[in-house]
Amino acid sequence: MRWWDEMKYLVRKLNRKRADQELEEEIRTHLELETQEKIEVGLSPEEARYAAQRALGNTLLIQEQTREVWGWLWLEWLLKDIRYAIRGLFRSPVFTLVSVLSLALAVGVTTGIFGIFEAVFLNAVSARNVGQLRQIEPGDYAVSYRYYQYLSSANNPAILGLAAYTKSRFSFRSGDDLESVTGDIVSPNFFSVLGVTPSIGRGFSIDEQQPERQPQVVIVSHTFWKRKYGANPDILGKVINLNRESFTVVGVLPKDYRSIHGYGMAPDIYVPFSTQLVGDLYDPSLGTLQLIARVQDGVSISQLKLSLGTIVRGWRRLYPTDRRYSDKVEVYPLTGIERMRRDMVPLELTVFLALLILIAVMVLLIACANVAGLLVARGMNRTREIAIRLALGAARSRLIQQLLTESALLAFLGVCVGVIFYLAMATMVANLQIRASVPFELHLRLDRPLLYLCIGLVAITTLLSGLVPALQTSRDRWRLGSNQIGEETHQRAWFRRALVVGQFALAFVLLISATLFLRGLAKNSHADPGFDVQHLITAEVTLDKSSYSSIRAEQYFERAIVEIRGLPGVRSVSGVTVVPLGLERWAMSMEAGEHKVQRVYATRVTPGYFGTMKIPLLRGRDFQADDRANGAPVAIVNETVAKTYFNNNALDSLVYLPIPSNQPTFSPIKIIGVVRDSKYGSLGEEPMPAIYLPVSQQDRTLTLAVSTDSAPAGTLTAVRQLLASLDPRVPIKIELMQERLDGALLPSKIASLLLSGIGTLGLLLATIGIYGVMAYSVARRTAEIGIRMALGATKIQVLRLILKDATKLVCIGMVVGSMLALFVVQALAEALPAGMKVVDPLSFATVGGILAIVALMAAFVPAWKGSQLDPNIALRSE
Amino acid sequence: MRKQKDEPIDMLQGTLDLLILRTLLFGPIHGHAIAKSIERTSQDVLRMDHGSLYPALQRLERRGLVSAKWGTSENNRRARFYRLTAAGRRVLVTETSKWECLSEAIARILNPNREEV
Repeated sequence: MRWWDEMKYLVRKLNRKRADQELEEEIRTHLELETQEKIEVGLSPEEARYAAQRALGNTLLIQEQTREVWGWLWLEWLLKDIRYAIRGLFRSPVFTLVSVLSLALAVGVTTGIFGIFEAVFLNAVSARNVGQLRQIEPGDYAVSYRYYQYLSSANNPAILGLAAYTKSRFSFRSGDDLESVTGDIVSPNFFSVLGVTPSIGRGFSIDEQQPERQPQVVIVSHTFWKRKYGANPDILGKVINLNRESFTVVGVLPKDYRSIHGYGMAPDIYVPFSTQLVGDLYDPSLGTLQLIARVQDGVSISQLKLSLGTIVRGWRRLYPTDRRYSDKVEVYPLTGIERMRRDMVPLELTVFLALLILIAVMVLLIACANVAGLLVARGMNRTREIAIRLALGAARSRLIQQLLTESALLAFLGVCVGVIFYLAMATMVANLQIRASVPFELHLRLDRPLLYLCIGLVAITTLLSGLVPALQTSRDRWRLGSNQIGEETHQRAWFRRALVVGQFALAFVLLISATLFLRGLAKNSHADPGFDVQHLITAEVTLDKSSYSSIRAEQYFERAIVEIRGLPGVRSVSGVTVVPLGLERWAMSMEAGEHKVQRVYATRVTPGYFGTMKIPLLRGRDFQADDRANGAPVAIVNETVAKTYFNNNALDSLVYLPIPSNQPTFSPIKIIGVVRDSKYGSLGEEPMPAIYLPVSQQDRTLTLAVSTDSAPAGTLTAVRQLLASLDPRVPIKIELMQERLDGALLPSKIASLLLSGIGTLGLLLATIGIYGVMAYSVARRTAEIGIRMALGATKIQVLRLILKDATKLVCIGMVVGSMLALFVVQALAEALPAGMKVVDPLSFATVGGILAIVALMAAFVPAWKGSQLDPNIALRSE
Repeated sequence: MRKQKDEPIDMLQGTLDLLILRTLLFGPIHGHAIAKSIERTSQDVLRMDHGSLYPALQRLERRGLVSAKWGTSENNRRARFYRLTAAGRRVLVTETSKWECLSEAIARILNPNREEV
């Protein structure tokens, strides 16, 4: 409690005026008492006053000394140190600029990567108090509207609000243009449960709850508003046309709204449930809705599960025939690792992110090493100053405090500039248009976790870059006045050398990782997907259940295929449910002979698909129009399946698949054909087992693959117009296959770009580092060089002397770096195309060569300067 | 008068605090009285620089060893009375024993032949 008393004392003394008055009064009393005493002894009043004053001494000095006791000494020191540090930094602007920029670049990279990580994974959803939100999955399945109503009306006290949503696609008409846009169909309380208010207009009101309500309303995303209406503020009340129905715009979402789907997915529009959109809302078995609940604080997931369990069992009593929902309830948090696990984020993405974080750490280390090197060099210039101060009695701890203040100031400035970089990057990323089947937006923010990170970065960089230099610089008590020719203390030389070696090792690892990704990208973009890409158009057609019964849907697709085939320039047309190399996947388990296959890619296709895609049929036959009607289910498999599980003898064998999916058993399916392997999930994948099934009547979303004779771009419009003429209400998304592929390559392109950018940055920082160290070393050795030249050394010899030193450091750095790199690339293999050799001597040699050249160039400049010294001047330099 | 006497000794650094604490042991008194008390008790051997008294008192107050309160002096003047706190009492005990050790050791070194005492 001592410090507490002291604090109280200091706080009391904060009132300086009162404290001064009190002291004055105290001294006055003292003087009067003393005078009194002297008078009693027999002096005259005047003499007595003088004597008292003499005994007391200098009143001003007493006050000064007393004030010192009152002071917040450490605070005053700190302020003094900061002032001193600022003056020092101003005095050497180049040093300051290089240090701050080094740190700023590294901080920009670190915060940027953290921001992406946070935007995509950790805090993916815009909502008030995300910790209260839970994703609820009763009966391990998406639920029906009726089920949602049932749960809402159950009045579970743990749940403050329950909302539902489902992803959908709409055809948006403006003028004569039809465009397929993405949107969420949501319960009217969706935004109020999330706690999100539109930036313009309002959320949905409760009376918009009636699904049959007219007029229908819509809330649009900020991007959609900007893209379609040029951010016109008069958007409210405007009527837009979706699926041929009129919707009134009532709100625009905030600019940085992160959708509930996470991972940067950003739907264009939001509409409340309506019969027109969802079809028969009240069919209890029809369900595509996902549920989110805002729960009471302190209700754990298991408690929530328990309380929901009874309600879920109640549904079974209500609808005993509905077998879709089991009694199981799953509850997940909306963000964080748990959610990533549930969504089964692909491994390579996780590896890539881990790699990015590793890289951020490496860049940060390089930058810190830079600053540390510069600080040591600077410290040596101040040897005399420090030695004098130590000799005059300055405490070493005070000196360390002062030196650390300086590096803290540098770190602070670096982080500030770094945050500016980060904000610039955030603006850039926000304006990035990424083509994907769902609009993708990244909103990097300067929010609380990021600020914490920045504070942490200031502390870390201060310690990493400042501690060792401060300890070393403040050690030199004995150096006062010593002659300084070529004498660098051993530890100090060791430290600076280690810094250069470390920087080069890290730069090596960075560049190796970057080249690895570039090679992977090159391999990917030249990879053969196994089907014709150049002449393909894909048109994704989504029919809604309310207006298309399964028979009508079948008729629609048959007619579309026939009519498109009639267009000029079209070679063939067929339908497929899951287009290869797209974002969507369909994979299931399979039993083939005695093999149990964990994961086989599956897709449904119409007859003629293999012809359209130019995938050669190796054995057996294609599907026929009557395959479906004839009862006995059939399938076509790829070469990998035939080879791996049937010893190349697959025809007429049976495979067992878990379809139709509402039955738990595997049903037998006869193999009628074998086709050549192609790529399904990604261009980089190894040959995967795949199975093709005929299109079923239940498929209402089908992609029409259109193969053309010549360049397909000209046919695109004709296909679009034809489909629009069939039924303008149907949302259609038409793309060139080539564009889709470019989209598929985009992530690895971005990754490679990012990595090579950061790699170059690392190289740049390391180059600055070695230049600084060499330049400094030459400056230190000026006198030595002078002596050598006076004794007859040639310029070449001097040059060689200095370069030899640099070469040694770079060599060691490279050896350490390549050993580290060997380690890192093994971990990277997961994120790279299959079959790529990760340890490639050529890339190691190239990276080593580049590094060596850059390093020696950086060292050459100071070395050359050193060799040009005039011995006369050099000798007198100390 | 003091100065005419045979050479009063300057106060050793750091001993003033101890002497102040010791003086306060008999009850709260004000600054002037402390000075007088120290001089009187040492029979005017120690020269007391009155000016150093007040910073020392503030130092002790900051460390929580003494507490201060305004009161009235014997001849009706407002004066600040200092009181020894519990922490001050503890410090006084430890410092006194330290001081005794030190002075004994010094005495032993200066007069080695009187060791048997």
